[in-house]
Formats: sequence, C-alpha cells, structure tokens
Amino acid sequence: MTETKTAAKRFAYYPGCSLKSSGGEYDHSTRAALKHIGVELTEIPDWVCCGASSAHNLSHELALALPLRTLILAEPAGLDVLAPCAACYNRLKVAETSVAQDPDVKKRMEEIVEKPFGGSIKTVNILDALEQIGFGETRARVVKPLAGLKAVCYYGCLLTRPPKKLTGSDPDNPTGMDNLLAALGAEPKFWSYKTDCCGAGHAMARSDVVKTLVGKLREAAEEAGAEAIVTACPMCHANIDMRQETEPGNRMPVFFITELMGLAFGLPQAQSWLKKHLVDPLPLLKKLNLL
Amino acid sequence: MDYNPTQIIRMCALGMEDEVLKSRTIWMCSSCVTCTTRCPMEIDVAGVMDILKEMAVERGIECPEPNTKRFHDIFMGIVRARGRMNEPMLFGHYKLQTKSFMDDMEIGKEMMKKMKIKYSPKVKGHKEVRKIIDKAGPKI
Repeated sequence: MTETKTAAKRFAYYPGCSLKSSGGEYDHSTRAALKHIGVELTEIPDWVCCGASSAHNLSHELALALPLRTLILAEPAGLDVLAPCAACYNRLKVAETSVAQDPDVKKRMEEIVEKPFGGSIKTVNILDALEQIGFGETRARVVKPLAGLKAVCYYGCLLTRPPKKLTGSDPDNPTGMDNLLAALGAEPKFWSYKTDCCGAGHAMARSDVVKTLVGKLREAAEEAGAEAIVTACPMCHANIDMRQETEPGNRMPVFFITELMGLAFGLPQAQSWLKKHLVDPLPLLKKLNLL
Repeated sequence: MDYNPTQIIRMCALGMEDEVLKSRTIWMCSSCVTCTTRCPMEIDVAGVMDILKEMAVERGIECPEPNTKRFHDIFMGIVRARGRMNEPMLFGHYKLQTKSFMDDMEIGKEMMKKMKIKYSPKVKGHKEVRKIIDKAGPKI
C-alpha cells in the first residue's frame, strides 16, 4: 500500500512547448502547486514537440510518431507521464492508446521512430493526476479558501475527446475540475459549455472564428453567474485571455486551475503568475479579499 | 464552411473526391472532435477531415484557407529544425509570410510588455525529429 502511494506521487513531467513560452504561468504554477502537496516531477530529458494542433492536419502518421518518441524517451524511468497542457496530453494519450489498440500501427510507428515502445507507462493530465493522488492533501494545504469566487470550469475539447482514445472523463459533463475548485473553497457554477470549442489553433489564421466562439463562452459564463473562467489548457487560456471583444474593463479573467491551487495554498509567488495575464484578474481577487 | 460535416461524409460515400478535397470545410475544422464523439454510426469524422487535408496537400490542390495551411507549414518547419516550437519564430515567420503585420498589434504589444513569449533553445534530439518528420511526411 505504501508503495502504491509513493508511486502515485511521482511523475515524469512533459511541460510541452506552450508552457515554456506563452503558457509559462501554467508551468510555474503546476510545479509549485504539486510540489506543495508532495508530488515529485522529473522533467523528461530532451522531450520534443508533440505536433500539437498542426501535425495531425498534415500527416496522420506524424501526429502519432512525434508524441511516441517522447513516450519512448520517458519509458526507462518507469513513471507515468504528466502533461498539464491539454493539447500535449491529448496527443500523447492518443499515441499511447493507438499503438496499444492496433499492432499494425505500433509496428509502423516503431519503424518511423526507430525505437521500440514497451507500453508500460501511461499519460495523465493534471486532473487525472490529482484525482489519482486524492484531494486529501490539497484540502489540508488550503490556508486561504477561495470563498466567494464564482467560476465556471472550462475543460475544452482536448481533455475528454475522443473518449475512445482517452480515459475517464465524461465528454459532455466532466466534473474533475469542478470538484477540485470546490475543494479549494471556490464556488463552481454549472454551465453547459464545459467542453465546447474556443477555436483552438485558428487563433492566428482565423482569429475571427476564435473571437466569435470566445464571445459565446464569455456570455454563457456570465449567464451561469460566474465572474471568472477556469481552465487546464494553455490554448484555451490564451484564446479567452486575448480574444474577448468586450471593452477592456468588462473582460472576464481566466485562471489556470493550478494558479488557483497556488492562491488557496497561500503561495507567495502566485501573484507573479497572474501578472502575466492580459485580462488582469487582480481587481476581482482584491474585491473578494483573496489576495 | 461550405459544407457541414454530415455533407462531407455523405459526399465521401458518393465518391465526390474533387468537391470534398477542394472544400473550405476540411480546413475550417478545428478538430474539436465533437462529431466523432457523437456520431451514432461511430464514424471518426474528425479523423476523416484530417485524412482529407492530407490527401488535398498530396495532390497539390490549392488550399481555400491559405493562411491556415501556411501556419501549419511554418509550425512544422520550426519543429523540424529545432525539435520544439519556438513561439517568437512562429509569430515572426507567420507575419512575414502573410504580410499581416498590422493584425493583432495591441495583443502583440501586451505580450511583449509582459514578456509572455520566450525563445526556446534547440533540443539535442532535433536531428532525430527531422528524420521522423521526413519519414512520416509532410513535405516541408
């Protein structure tokens, strides 16, 4: 029993390219929040891009081969891979299950990558990881409950779809993030846009599409009685943070779930993450006396 | 979108190759995968969209959403050269190639001010990544 418990608290860490750049605050808050609840992360040495929202549009083989190369690199350490970025998680998990489900695909991928994959490790997202560990330690570490923070949890597309290749969550009504938010003392609001799309990789070439979809999300969040949106995806975060068309004073702040963990844990560096946002969340937090 | 996803699947079944491969729809798909998840016939609609894009590129069909295609090409080109994405290079190359310097100026300024985008170093295994990309396509 002790062994299982120890094993669940260590992960190989795959930050992915976004978290090393525009999603930096997600990387920093993930590392800090997990460390605070005793989870040990070891970054996979020399990990490479998973292909993200581009590779699969150009080559279905490349979309599996790139993430598999990283899983092969991680396998010798024998730890499950934590990918906080929803897009990376999706690519890694789809590669993992595709080779597990089809021997022909496995053979072809190993030909391309020129290395064998034993299939002994699994990819998990941040919500899976926290659910595995249990919320006990998280609850115990809350020193500043997020009382009064009304927020909707926005899971987006990549944490739950396609359900046949991913694991666990209900693709229409996932609840992991809502439960976590409640454990932090905040007030998760129910809405029916949990897994709607923000426009994802269209951010640059067709920002008009992203603006329309983000506008709908913002409106629905407000209707649900929320004052903020919470996410676990750097692409959703960037789109909502940058593409709200309402006047600047009336834009809704969007948090990474791990930032809220850091805030509730009273971590002093939490403000430095929030200062990276384009929609300033500090006025809302000050109003609620959460800083 | 010129056709909805249901129409694309029916057009595929009817063998309307040309129309499907030239359609804007396949490039407007954001891969949210809702269609695949909900299809009562269990068709992987999003997977079909991906394959159609791949076929259209292979056959040299002109893309009705050229900037979208350009974005993916620039993205994979950077990964091929460096092993990882490098956001300053992605934005720079995209702006140069699409001559869209004035778009999103305000967002760009804010991002610079907050030092949101960082230059990532090349990874050691970048040559291996190049080999994988060259073997699995696309031609970039």
